[in-house]
Amino acid sequence: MKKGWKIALISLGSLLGLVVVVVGIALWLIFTPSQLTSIVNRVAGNFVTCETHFGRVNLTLFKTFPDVGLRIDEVEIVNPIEGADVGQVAYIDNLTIGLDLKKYLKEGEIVVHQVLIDELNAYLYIDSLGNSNFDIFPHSDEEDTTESHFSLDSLPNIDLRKLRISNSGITFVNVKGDLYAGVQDIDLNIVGNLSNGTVDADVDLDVDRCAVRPIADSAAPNTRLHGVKMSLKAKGNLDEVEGKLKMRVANGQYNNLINERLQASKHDLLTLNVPFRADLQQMLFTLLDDSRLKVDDYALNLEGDVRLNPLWMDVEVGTDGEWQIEPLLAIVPEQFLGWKKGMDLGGKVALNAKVASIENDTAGNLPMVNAVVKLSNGRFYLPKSLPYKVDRINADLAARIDLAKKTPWSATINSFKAHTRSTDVSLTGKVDDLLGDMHIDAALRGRLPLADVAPMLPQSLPLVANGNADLDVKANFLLSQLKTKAFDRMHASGTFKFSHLDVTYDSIHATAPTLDVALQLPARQHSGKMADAHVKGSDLQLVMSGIEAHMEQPDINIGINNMMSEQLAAAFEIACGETEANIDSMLVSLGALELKGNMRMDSTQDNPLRKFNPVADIDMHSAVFYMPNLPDAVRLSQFTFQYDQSGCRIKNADVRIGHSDFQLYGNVDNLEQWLSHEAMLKADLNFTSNYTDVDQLMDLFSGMGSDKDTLEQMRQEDNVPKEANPFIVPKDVDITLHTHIRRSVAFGNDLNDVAGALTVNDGTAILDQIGFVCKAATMQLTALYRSPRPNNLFVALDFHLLDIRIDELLDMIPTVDTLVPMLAAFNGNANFHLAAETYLDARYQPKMSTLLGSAAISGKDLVVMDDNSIAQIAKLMQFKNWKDEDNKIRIDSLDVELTCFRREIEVYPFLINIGKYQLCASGKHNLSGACNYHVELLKNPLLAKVGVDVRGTLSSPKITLGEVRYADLYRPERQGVVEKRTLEMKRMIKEALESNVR
Amino acid sequence: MRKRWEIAIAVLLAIVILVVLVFRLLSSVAEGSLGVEGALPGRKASNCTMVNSQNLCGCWLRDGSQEYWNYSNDGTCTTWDEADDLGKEESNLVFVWRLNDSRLTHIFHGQLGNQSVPKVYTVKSISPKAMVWVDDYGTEYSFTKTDH
Repeated sequence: MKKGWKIALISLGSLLGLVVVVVGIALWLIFTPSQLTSIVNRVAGNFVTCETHFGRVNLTLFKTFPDVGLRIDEVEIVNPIEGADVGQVAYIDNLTIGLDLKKYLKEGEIVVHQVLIDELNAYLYIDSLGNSNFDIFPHSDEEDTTESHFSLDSLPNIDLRKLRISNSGITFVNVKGDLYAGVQDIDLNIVGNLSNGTVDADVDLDVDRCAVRPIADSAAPNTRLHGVKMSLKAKGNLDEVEGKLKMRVANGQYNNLINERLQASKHDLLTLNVPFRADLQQMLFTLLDDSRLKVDDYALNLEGDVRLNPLWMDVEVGTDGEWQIEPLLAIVPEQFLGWKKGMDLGGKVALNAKVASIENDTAGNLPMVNAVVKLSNGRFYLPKSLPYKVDRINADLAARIDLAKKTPWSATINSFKAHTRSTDVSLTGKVDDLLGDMHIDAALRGRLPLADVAPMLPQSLPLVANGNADLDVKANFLLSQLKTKAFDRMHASGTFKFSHLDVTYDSIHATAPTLDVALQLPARQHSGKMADAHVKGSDLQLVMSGIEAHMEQPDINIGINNMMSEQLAAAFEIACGETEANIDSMLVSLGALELKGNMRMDSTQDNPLRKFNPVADIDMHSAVFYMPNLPDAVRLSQFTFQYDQSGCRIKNADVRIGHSDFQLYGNVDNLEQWLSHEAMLKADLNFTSNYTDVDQLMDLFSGMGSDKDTLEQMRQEDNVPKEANPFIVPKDVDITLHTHIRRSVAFGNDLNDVAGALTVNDGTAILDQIGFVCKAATMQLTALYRSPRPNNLFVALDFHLLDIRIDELLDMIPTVDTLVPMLAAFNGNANFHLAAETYLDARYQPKMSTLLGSAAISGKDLVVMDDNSIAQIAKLMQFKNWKDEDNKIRIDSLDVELTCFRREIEVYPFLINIGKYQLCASGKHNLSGACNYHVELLKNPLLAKVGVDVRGTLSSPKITLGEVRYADLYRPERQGVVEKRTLEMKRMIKEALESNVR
Repeated sequence: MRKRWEIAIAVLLAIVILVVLVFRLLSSVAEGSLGVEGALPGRKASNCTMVNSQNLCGCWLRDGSQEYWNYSNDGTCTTWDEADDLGKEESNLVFVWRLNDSRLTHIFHGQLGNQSVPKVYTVKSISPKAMVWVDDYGTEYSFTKTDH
């Protein structure tokens, strides 16, 4: 049985083979190559307008089986145009076309099933006018006015069983478009059919190399690709085609964007693997889940929809995990890495983005990109801007990029954390309008050493800071505001909790173990200021312009302007508990301090008041000032004053210095100019005191305002003994004190109800009609004191004591006894007027050669002490019964005027009425005690006239009878010129002295 | 007889008193005519010497001291004593001087108030190199011209 089947099959095969051979021979005989060549040459003219050449045309059955094949060798299309390098448009070494013979025989329709092209060399050329050498197809004479609506449905059924192009090359030269393209070693295989709304296609393309470049500039960037492979499979209904696109570019160059590192990579330059579903009617492609685009070793997952013509997309793009930044940057073209110069950047980055075209966008459906970038374990180091490495950078960033630029680009910092040395910061926020004026709304939290912040601040900012800060800051501002330092328009708020703070800003140095600063920008509390700062802390140490302050519990409110500028301006409210400050060498201790005002800094100035330009209301409580040149502290229970550029207004100062207490209020001017030695310090103050120790205050304030070294040099030059400490009147000051002192002690005397003006003017002290009560006597003193040298002190007095007991006067001013020695013999009350001036030495001893003075003494109902000299005079004048019953000598009145010049005192004639006797006395004595006096009896019961001369020394006078001289002095009808002039001089001296009595 | 004696004694006393009064009157008139400007009553001025004020101008050193008197021809004078550690420029004793015949008047004005201290002397002798004053109490002051 088996053998029978075998014989039958062999017989059938032989029969078929015979039929084929017979048909082949028949065709060979009928369609000879020459006949076919002739036919093709003839027919070609119907299809092309240019010159064509065909070498040999043969029929083939086996190569295109089951179709009938027409093999054409050496196909040449020639269409020379000016400018083209060659006239040949294309040359095909071997072209085989497979025709559906059955279709042709039955329906006379030529259906091409196969096209096999081997060794195609094409040269396509477009000249500068747009004429091309491949425009070889005949045109219709009638203009086609119908609109072209391409539709796959309009396509005829296509059954392309094989399209193969192998070993081919194409050169394309477009002079008009300045483009050269060359493709070499093309192998293309297409198998597919399109019929009845379905498609089934399989395309494989293999190009060994291709190049694209401009014509005009051969050195310009060009594109070269090597090892291009593409595979496309598509199958299904036209509105629902499923397929897969694979593409691979092994290597190449694209506009110099492929750097050496990428070219040398072992990975393919580009790989595309896109499974898709497509609606070819709508040209809508859906990239399926496994779509992937890979550059080198970096793959992007793609998923979404893309529509062609016009281009529209809604695609999600994401990295296939985290990418290492460093190798990624290594393949980025150099021209895009200018920003990275000197920077070390590392870490891992992952991207997820949605790229979606905006519907109906007139700008060509440019897409909007919403991307999320995650950075992990990143690091950053750029020494020129930040001298330390930042690592542990973890960030979650989102960005919206509208390529149509219809909406502003924006970025959201979902989280950003970084670490450097001891610093940890975290940042969240949003940045809008990335391409324009960026609007930043961010919150920064972190703990950082201040030393790490310094490099990020402007170099012009004179700030050095150490310590740690815990930040919690929110900011909302535009980039342009930051660039232009328009801080007044920026918004920020936050807290800075400093620890171990040590900050130097210009000449201000502050330290504090803890300090909390709350910042508000713009200021709310201080209207018109750029920022509010509220500072609270403990143990704040502050050093500025010679001032060292220690504040226990500072509570400072500041409104600041020009914060980042050298011209800082601020309004402030400062409240402190216990505070200590060291100002130059002065130690200040405050129980409480309230300070409110503002300042404007001018770094160009040295004068502290000009440097800070303060305007302040200051209220101190329980203040104690320890000054190096004052043995006693100055204590102020309250000190309230205002300061501005126009001056200082002391509202109230309750002061205790040593034994003295006083209250001050008034104005102090020219402080600013005084500090710059441009003008004297001026003050007009009211000085009210319960008790003032003038001697102690003079000791305390002696020499104030004078340079200590200069003063010491002057003391040495003047040979001033160490124990002598004369009061040196402060210089460079013009101070007036309107005094009212209840009790005081001056030069050992108790003075009460002192009232008047004390002026200290550039080394001169003036007491202007100071009134006071001493030893129950009303007194008035005008005095001038200068201290040009420690051993040359000038004093001038205008002194009035009214109704003072003579013994107390002599006790209070012993010098009066020297001037009027006979006064000691009287007892009772008198008025005393003295004007005198002299220089004093360093021990306050008068320099007698400079003494000049005049005095007037008047009294009534005085008692003459029992005096030996008076007794002698009375005896010589034969006084009888001149003593009272109580054996006292009483005189009705005394009226003495005297002058003093150097060591000599001259007493003008004066009258003494003792009961029934009237005496006149005059003369002179000097300070060594030598005297020359004359006493004369003018009235007595016997009308006798007796004169007595008192000569020798005051302690041991020689009393003898002398000439009578004053008989007519007090008798107007007998006065001569001399008598009148003498009395006139007496009157002049007395009136001049008394004229200053208030 | 007794009545006559009483009348004679009374007349005699009257004559004596009259003589005394006349004598005193004449004496007083005589004393008044001798008084010179600035002299205290009852004190006789020293002998008058006509003094040329040009001789006075210049600097004088009081003999036996370091006390200087510097007369200027503008009518002012300054005096100081270097024994008291004082220089000319520091002197507070700047005054006005006036010379009438031999009566030399110094009028000092203090730096406070209306204080005015007159001092009057009589120039007893003066030459280009030496000068002597005397005050109304007879105290002499001798000076030597100096180039100080």
